[in-house]
Amino acid sequence: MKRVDIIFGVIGLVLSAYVFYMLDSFPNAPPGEVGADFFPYILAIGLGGTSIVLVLQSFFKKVSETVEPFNIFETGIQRAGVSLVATVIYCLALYSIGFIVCTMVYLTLMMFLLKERKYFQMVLVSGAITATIFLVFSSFLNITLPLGTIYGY
Amino acid sequence: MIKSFKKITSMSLVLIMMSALFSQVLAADFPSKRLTVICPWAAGGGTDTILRGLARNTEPFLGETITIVNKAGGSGAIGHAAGVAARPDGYTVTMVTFDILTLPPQGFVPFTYKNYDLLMRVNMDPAAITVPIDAPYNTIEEFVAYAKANPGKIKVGHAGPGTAWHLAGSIFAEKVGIDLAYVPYNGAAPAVTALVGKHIQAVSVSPAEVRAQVEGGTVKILAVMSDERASGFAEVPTMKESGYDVSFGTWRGLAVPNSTPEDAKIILHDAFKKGMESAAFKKFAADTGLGVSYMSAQDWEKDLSTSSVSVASTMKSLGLAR
Amino acid sequence: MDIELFFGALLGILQWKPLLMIFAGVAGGILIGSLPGLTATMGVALLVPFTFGLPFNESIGMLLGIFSGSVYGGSISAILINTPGTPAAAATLLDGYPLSQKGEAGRALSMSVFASFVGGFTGALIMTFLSPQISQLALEFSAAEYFGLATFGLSIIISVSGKSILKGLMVGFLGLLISTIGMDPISGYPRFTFGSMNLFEGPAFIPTLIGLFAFAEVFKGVEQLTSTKQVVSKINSVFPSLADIKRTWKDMAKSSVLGTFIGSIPGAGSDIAAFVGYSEAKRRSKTPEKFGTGQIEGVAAAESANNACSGGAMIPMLSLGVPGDAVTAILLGAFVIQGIQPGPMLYKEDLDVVYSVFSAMLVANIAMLIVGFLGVRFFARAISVRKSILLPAIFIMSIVGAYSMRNNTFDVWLALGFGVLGYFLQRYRFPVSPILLALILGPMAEANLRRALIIADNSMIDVLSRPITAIFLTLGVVTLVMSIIRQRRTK
Repeated sequence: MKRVDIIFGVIGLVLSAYVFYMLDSFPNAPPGEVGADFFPYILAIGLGGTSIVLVLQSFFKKVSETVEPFNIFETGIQRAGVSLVATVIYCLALYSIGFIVCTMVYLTLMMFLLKERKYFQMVLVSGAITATIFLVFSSFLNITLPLGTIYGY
Repeated sequence: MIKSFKKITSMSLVLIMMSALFSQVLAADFPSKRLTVICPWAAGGGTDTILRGLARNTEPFLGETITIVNKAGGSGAIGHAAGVAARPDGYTVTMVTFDILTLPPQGFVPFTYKNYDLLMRVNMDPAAITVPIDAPYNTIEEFVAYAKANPGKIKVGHAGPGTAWHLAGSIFAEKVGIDLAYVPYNGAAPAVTALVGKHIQAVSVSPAEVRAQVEGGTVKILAVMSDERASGFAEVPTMKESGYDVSFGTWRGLAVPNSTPEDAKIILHDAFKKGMESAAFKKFAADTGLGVSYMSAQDWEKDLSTSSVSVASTMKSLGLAR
Repeated sequence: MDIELFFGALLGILQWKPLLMIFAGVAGGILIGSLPGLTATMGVALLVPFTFGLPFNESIGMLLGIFSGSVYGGSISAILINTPGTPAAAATLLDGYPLSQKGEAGRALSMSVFASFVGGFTGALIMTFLSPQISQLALEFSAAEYFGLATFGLSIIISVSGKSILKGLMVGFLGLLISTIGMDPISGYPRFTFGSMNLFEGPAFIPTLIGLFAFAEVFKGVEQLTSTKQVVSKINSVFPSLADIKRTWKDMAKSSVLGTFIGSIPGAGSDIAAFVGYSEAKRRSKTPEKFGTGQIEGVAAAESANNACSGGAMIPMLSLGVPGDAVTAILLGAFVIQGIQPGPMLYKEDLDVVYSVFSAMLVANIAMLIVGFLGVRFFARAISVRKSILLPAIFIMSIVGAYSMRNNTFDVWLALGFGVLGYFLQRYRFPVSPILLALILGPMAEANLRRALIIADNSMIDVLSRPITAIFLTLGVVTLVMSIIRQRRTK
């Protein structure tokens, strides 16, 4: 807990320092007026202040809570990481390959990642979800989902 | 594990092939598939409303479905950018709005209206000066006299920094030599609300946007910034009638990216023009209070080449250009 | 009030065609609302074109059906998957999701339907009888008063902060800083946009919401796939129990009135109303420390407040011709296309039209109650689906939801980014709701303070000394101090 608080506090401090740095290039408001930099300035002070208190508190306060450590080698964390990467790939491929193909493949693979092994059911459910979303969006709501540039759309 | 992975891959392949078959496209004469029109503003807004009305009435003349894609955000920058980047095959049309003149001077986008091949202007709404019903001035001349006597005392609400209505107020003030203070709101409706509540002294939005309040007797329009009196507001004088040479408004039109084939442009122009002239669209436009005003690509181009310069210089004097 | 005319209008709505449209609208609205990324605003906007050709009673029935249905629908995904389907349901998940984790999804859902109905119906009743009076009050709100209201709303951050006030404040400041990204609403200067036009209007709200809640939740679900047990929700009845109604009726009544009032102020919407209602229920409660762990009062207060808002938002739209929120702005356009110009003249010349709207709103809320109860069993079963199928489905819906808001892939990246942020914040016990409140209220506070200063010729004293503003600011300070003291005591 202690270490985590210090890390978050430091991140908060760095962030507020960065805001102060950026505010330097903001245009100056005429004297007596509140300009574009006024609110970010106050907020950066607030964020910096609370961050410092958080760091100090973690030095002086007894540890009362426990949090599971973030272990990159743990299967669960790795699985979450894989799902993030899969989602990123999905989004990258969406425009060129199109919603229908992408979604069916993505859903099937994600179910596989989550230890589903009833293959027939997996394909069926993927197809059903894809079809439902596509139909609801394109015909009912009139929202176009990417159809895929490789087919000439 | 490996076995099941193989199964997965082969299944995915089958899926890919099946779906690819579904989305086959056959090539034929233009237009042979549905058209997309990009709307740079959100669904339900003025641009979206007029576009949907026009598209519905143009479909019969094109013989294809027209899909409207709302790419809102960035004060119109995102939609206009998507329109410039679209494939120049005539299948992606963009509804360009006034903001394409204000975005480049602010340094927000790396392109201008010249990156588009214009098809036609569809709509034009003039700006107007509207004040509360019990304001101590009944004509634009009295308003100007009051403003000269009380510099900076009149607070004019508009739809946001860099919007057409912001420029409208300052172009007018500059022309007649008065000092107004501008209060930016998030769109025209909140500005009008503030005017009805008498928290500000004037708004510089279009007559259509204050129609309900005019009819309800809470506000009055002093003058419109157009060459002719606005349709539906025949009793309101123009600025020119009062001796102030101010003509300014917002507009919307259709355009395609550069290097779109010439014949596709002609087909598109003719179809949309027929849609505009259809009785159904005319009635729709009258109901919504949007000013229909056709302008051919050549005239529009000429118009933009002069107004883009004057808009840029006004932006500079407002401190919005960078 | 012309009673005869009113009943005539009501009978006009109670024909089979308008009724069919209302029920269809409500069902569609619930679907739209429950899908993260599809909001009430979008639902109404996208379906307005379908109503062009319909007679007035049918089109208004359908649109108000969608409006009412989608505001309730947002609570379904809030309760079941910890993701507000619409921003209005952001306060509902605070206690709704813990309830469904305890296997009480059915209880939370039926309470949500009932509270939505109570709020929506009260709002519609107030609208029917007090519109002209309330709309005059709403006009008193200038920029200074909005600033006061927003500041008061921000003081609620403490009460949604959970165990650590410090962490809540820190996250709140972070959220407020995020809310300053984009074009400055007054000077137009692009702040922290890094030259990206996707950030000119700040990080889009809905994708941010989807990221912080939906993505964060599925990442957690994927991580803990094997370590957590499948939630089985037990449903004895689709109706809320008498004991629950007895427990919550005071909160519902208060929230309904508060919600209607907040809705009637143009520019203050159902998301703010829900948080104010929630915080009031928590303040009034004898066991405020239990809020956030599955208190049924939390769900009831938030849901009745946000649905009451719909009726409230219709008030200035109908009687002044100025929309109360984004949805009524689109409704206003739909009315105009139908050849009806809302505003003071409507009350003088077309009173029958006004009464038709009132009737349709009342009937739409009853339809919502019926459809909602019918759906409880079905919705509650959704979380009993195996995680290996449920989680991928939520992933896809979140992606599509983030994308479809502006048809923009950038928004999906944004949602993913906020998903990772939300995942780590939750993992290390930082509350996420303060970010949400900050994103809603931060821009409102800043823009209105600066607007008020322009109007008052830069005199801060003139702005702060306006009576309504001063009251709100005082209330804000009192709320802040009280909740800190209370937090200390419970430790």
